[in-house]
Amino acid sequence: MPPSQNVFWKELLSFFRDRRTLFSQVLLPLVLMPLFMFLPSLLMGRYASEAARETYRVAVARVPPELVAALEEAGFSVVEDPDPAEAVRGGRADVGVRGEGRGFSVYLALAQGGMKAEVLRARVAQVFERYKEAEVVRRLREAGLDPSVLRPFEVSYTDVSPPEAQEASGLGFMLPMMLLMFVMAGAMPVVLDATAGEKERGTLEVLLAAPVPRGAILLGKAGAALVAALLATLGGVGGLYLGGLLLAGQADEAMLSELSFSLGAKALLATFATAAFFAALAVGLMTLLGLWARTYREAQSYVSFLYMALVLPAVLFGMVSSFIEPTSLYYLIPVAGPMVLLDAVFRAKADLLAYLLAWGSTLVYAAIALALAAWAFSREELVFRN
Amino acid sequence: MAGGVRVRGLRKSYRRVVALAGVSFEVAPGEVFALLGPNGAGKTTTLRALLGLVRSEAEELLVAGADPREDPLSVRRRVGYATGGMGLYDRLTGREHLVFFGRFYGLSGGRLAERIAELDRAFGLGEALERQVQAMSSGMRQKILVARAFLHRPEVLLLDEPTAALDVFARRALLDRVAAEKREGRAVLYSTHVLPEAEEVADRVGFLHRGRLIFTGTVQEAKSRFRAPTLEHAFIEAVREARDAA
Repeated sequence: MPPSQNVFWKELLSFFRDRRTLFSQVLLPLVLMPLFMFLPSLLMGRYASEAARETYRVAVARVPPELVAALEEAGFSVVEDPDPAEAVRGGRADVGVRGEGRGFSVYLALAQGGMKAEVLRARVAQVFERYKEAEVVRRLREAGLDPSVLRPFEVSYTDVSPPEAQEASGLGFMLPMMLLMFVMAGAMPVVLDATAGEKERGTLEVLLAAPVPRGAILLGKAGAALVAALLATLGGVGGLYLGGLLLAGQADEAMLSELSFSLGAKALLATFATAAFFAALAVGLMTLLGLWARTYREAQSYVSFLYMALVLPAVLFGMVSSFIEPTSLYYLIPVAGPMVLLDAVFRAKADLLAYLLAWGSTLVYAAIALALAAWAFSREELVFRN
Repeated sequence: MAGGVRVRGLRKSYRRVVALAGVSFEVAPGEVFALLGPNGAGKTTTLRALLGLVRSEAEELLVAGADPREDPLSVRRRVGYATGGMGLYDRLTGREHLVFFGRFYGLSGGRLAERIAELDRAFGLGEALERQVQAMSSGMRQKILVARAFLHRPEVLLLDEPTAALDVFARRALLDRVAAEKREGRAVLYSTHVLPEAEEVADRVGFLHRGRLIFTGTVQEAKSRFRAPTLEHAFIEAVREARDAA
């Protein structure tokens, strides 16, 4: 058996015997991917729906009976109160409405109510809109005019983007980021254990004392780490698919339909391939960091910067992606490039050039990282640093 | 010297720290040479240099007929190396360790199984063969570590604190094994700070102090040179002399 293969099987044997790591790398993404990504949206949608149906108390002063009727018709419980603002502040009412001359003042505890208060404001605004419309119609009729003069034409808006893009629009860069984070988390224990961990335990020195070229040792270790990362990738992509299926069952509610997510077979394959290329890069970078570090813990702290290299672009792109179209250069960004590609895959926007740029550049970066790791492995001041 | 060790003027520095300042010694086939010194004296650096694990300078450096600076893999093929208390994988069994390392030396199948059985008889590996390292006692671990060094019948044995964590029976078995290897013509470099052990097993000793070999000779020569009743007393006296001279 060639030495690199011997090292590879040894690393894999150790990995498969570590049930906790195996569980956290393969099964956890399968469970957590749907949970982390869709549960907040699911809960938010549920609570928003409940808030839209809840009966709120409205304190009113000097408002016409037509408006009171409109409020009651919209499901509000209306009570007369001389000071509606104070009623809201004191918690006696959720909304206060005071008639002032030709207008109305509406009082809400927006800063304290958060999302629920926003839903409440939307419901009150809807009541006022309907009341205003009814009032205009009534006045037009009194003036002998046809109310249709207010609507000389109708406008309708239709989203013609592909169904996948419509489904992914509510999720921003979160899904690509989470998936790639799972890939990194999958590779990390194996890579760091095989590098910094071995240095710390003294096993690396004994391994180096065997008649094996260092390149073969590195190849075996990196190969095993790649297998672990690919298993995590499989778990992550599986979780993504599962999450989409779970959400499809909930998509009947209006607020959740925007958050539904599904991928076709081709997109799933592209997602797996992109994550696999990223896994190669993550293994290369982590091997370098693991060899650089004195201890496992030190290596972990270095790897946390790699996570930042994913999170920061995800946040930035998430904020500006509505305004800018990613150019080819975006796909070339180290670490973040695959994330941009995955976002394009989820939005059905990825073309051949995008795949070539992101996959090709990631492979080149992975090769550079591995070459640097090989260089680090040949440096005695790094190998025997602890 | 095909099967031994010859070191002349071995020097090694880590940036500004001098780890070895011109160390010279020889270990002939069929001889046990004990390298003695406290922690930080340079014992491990010497062994690393002999294996070609660190870059070093020397007028002459030959281990089992090859220069580790030029052909480290050839040296490592002919050398057995054991370092005390470290160097085992938690989730592998003792047998898996021996199989893993055996493959690097071209052993496999029936030959490897037979060799493992021999080592089992020699060191009393017993349960340690089938138990994962994480469930082994420290004595079991050390037995596997030492057995691994003997696995490929090396020409030269480099043993770094090999009895650390061994119980009295395992320690006895190891010292007997070292004596047997010596009789079979192997050169043994035995690095330790347990001086009574060295007194028993070594033909010659070298006192290493701050990267310098301050004495080499037989145990008897050491005792008479420093007028000491034991090797331990001789070593302490040698270090005191070296400190005074510095």
